[in-house]
Formats: sequence, C-alpha cells, structure tokens
Amino acid sequence: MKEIDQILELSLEAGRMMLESNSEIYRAEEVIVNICRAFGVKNIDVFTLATCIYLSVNIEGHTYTRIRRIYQRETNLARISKINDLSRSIVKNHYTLDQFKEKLSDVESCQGLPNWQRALTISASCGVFGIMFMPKANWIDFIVTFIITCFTYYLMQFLKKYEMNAFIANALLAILMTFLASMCVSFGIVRDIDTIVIGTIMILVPGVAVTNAVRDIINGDILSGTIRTVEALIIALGIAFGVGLTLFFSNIGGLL
Amino acid sequence: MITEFLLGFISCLGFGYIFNCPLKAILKGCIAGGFGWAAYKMMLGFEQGTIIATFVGALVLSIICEICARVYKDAVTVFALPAILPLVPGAGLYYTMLYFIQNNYDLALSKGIETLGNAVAIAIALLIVSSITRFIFKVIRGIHH
Repeated sequence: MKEIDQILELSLEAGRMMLESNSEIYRAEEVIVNICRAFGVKNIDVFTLATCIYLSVNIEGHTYTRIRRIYQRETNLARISKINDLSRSIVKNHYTLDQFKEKLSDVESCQGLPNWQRALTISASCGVFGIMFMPKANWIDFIVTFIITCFTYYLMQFLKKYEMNAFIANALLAILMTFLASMCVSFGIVRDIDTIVIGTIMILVPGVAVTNAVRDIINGDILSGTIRTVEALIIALGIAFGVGLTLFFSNIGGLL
Repeated sequence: MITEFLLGFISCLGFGYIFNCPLKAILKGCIAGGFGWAAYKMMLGFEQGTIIATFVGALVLSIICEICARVYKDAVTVFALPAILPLVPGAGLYYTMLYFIQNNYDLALSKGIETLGNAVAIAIALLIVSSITRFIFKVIRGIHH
C-alpha cells in the first residue's frame, strides 16, 4: 500500500486535534480507527493517553508504527463535533485522501471566536455566578466581577501563550483576582469580598478536567482518567494557594 | 424557580461560548444546565445538604444531556461540558481557604470535606447516568461478547 504514510499521518492529525480540544479518549481512538478503516487498513492497534497517541497498523506482514505527542490543550467543542461527523462520513461520501485532507484542514482552521468576545461572555457569565451563589448580590457586584474577570481572562491567555506551569499560572491568576477584589472592598466600592471572588473563581475552577476524568474512567481509560484527576487537583491547589496567600496578606495589612 | 433556571441558563451560555460549542448544540446544553441548577436549588430548599443537592442536580442535567446526544447524534461532551459548570464547587474552595486564613480549622476542615464531597457527587452522578445509558443501549442493540 503506497499511501500508508499519508493515511497514518491524517488519522494521527485528526486524533491530535480531538485530544487538543479536550475530547474523551475513547472518542479520539474511535476517530482514528474509523479513518484507518475507511481507507482500507484492517489490523489497527491504537493506544491513547491524555498526552500521547500510539498507533500501529499491520499491512501484508509489514508493521507501521507512529507516535504523536500532545502538549497544548484548549476546549473546542465545535472541533470535536465536526471531526466526529467527518470520520463517520468518509465511507458514505466516498472521500479520497486528498479531499479528506482538505476537509481536515478546514476544521483545523476554525479557531472559534475572537478573544474580546470570549472575554466579554465569560465575564458576564462569572458575574451571573456571583448572583447565583449570593442572592443578596446587587448590580454593582455584577459590574465589579465583570471587570475583574476580564482582566483575569487576558492574563490567563498571556500565561497560556508562554506555557506557564499550571499550578503557578492558576496561583498567579487567583492572586490577581483576589487582590483586585480586596482593593475594591477597601476602596468601599463593594461591601463584601465573597461575592466577587466566588464569581471570578469560576473562570479558573477545573470543571472540564473533572468531567473528562470521570468520563474517561467510565470508558475504562483509567490511566488517562488518573492523569486528568491529578491535573484537576493541581489546578485546585493552585487556586487555593493563590486565594489563601492574598487573603492572608490583606488580613495582615488590614485591607479587609 | 424560573429565575434560578434563567440564571443557570445564562451562566452556561457564557461557558458554552468560550468552549466554542457548536451553535446547534449550545441552547440544548444550556437548557440542561438550567434544569440542573434549578434542581440543585430546589433540593437546597428542601433543607438538604449541598452534597445531595449537587448529586441530584448533576443527575438531572446528565440525563438531559444523554437524551440530547442520542436524539441529535452528537458527542455527549458537547452538551455536558458547559452544563456541568454551575455545579462545580468554586465557592466551597474559596470558603475553605478563607476559614484557614482566619485560623478557624474546624470550619475549614468541614468546608473542605463538603467541597470534596460535591466534586465526588458530580463524578458519581455522571458515572451512574452514563454507564446505565450505555448498558441499556447495548442491551437494546444486542451487542455483547
């Protein structure tokens, strides 16, 4: 088979995009197997971790093996949904390798929304969270939470760009937002710090990591589930450290 | 209760947007999230602890998400990731740290255990719903070894 290199490359690329968008492990494996099958490869062994894909196929007595590492991850549900559909429709639509490659790069290029729109929506969301948890919150709390979350979001994007370690990054973000919140309290803009911090903290909490960890463990990918649980724990510890540190110093400084 | 539903809906909407949720799925995920949050608040109103309330909320929203995934033939994650976020115990994490800083270790410990319990409750609810639906569908289609 002449195109075997290309088939392996394309299925690994699809798998990489799935994992980078935070899909479950079994779905990424299913996509890889679907693509290989659709282009006529029969003996497929794929083993996927949250951080790596190992793919080995056997054709006419020859074994071809490829490994692909995954580094950066950012949740992108549209990509998961599109690649999932694409991998199932290869046979039905009679895609050739080149057509499939084109479709795949179309999906890769859909980066989603511009940064400022994301910042605004996430900030509004976090503002609503403050009201949800604290029924006595008013619209000033909402606006303050909105502004602080905006700052936090942009710092988050900056730290992510330079691949800052997850614990330190979350600790720094938590320090920033708790500091801004306690400044707002000491300037008398808002009455209590709780609503602001609880609203803003929702941008950091590892909800995605927890959900994915559980779903991986259900599907029998215990190892990847453990990786993601530890990831969630590291993030939570980072947040707790950052919030604790700032509250401690603002207590000493008499800001609260 | 309608206000709670709307609040849950709006907060999920923001997260669905930042996760780049496909447009046809985002509303369904948010409706699931709204119902989950309303169920959580309702259980709190019945004088239940937050762990039970979180468990019930997660149960409700994951059932809705599984149904949506089956009906609209899409990955469950696409609906479930935005929907689950309101229940994640961010407030518990904050209060645990606050009590630690105030040297109030009794309260800090009980709040910490409650936070951990909330996270485990979400996990178990997801586990139950997802494995039971999978089991049912396998039995219906007769797939077995």
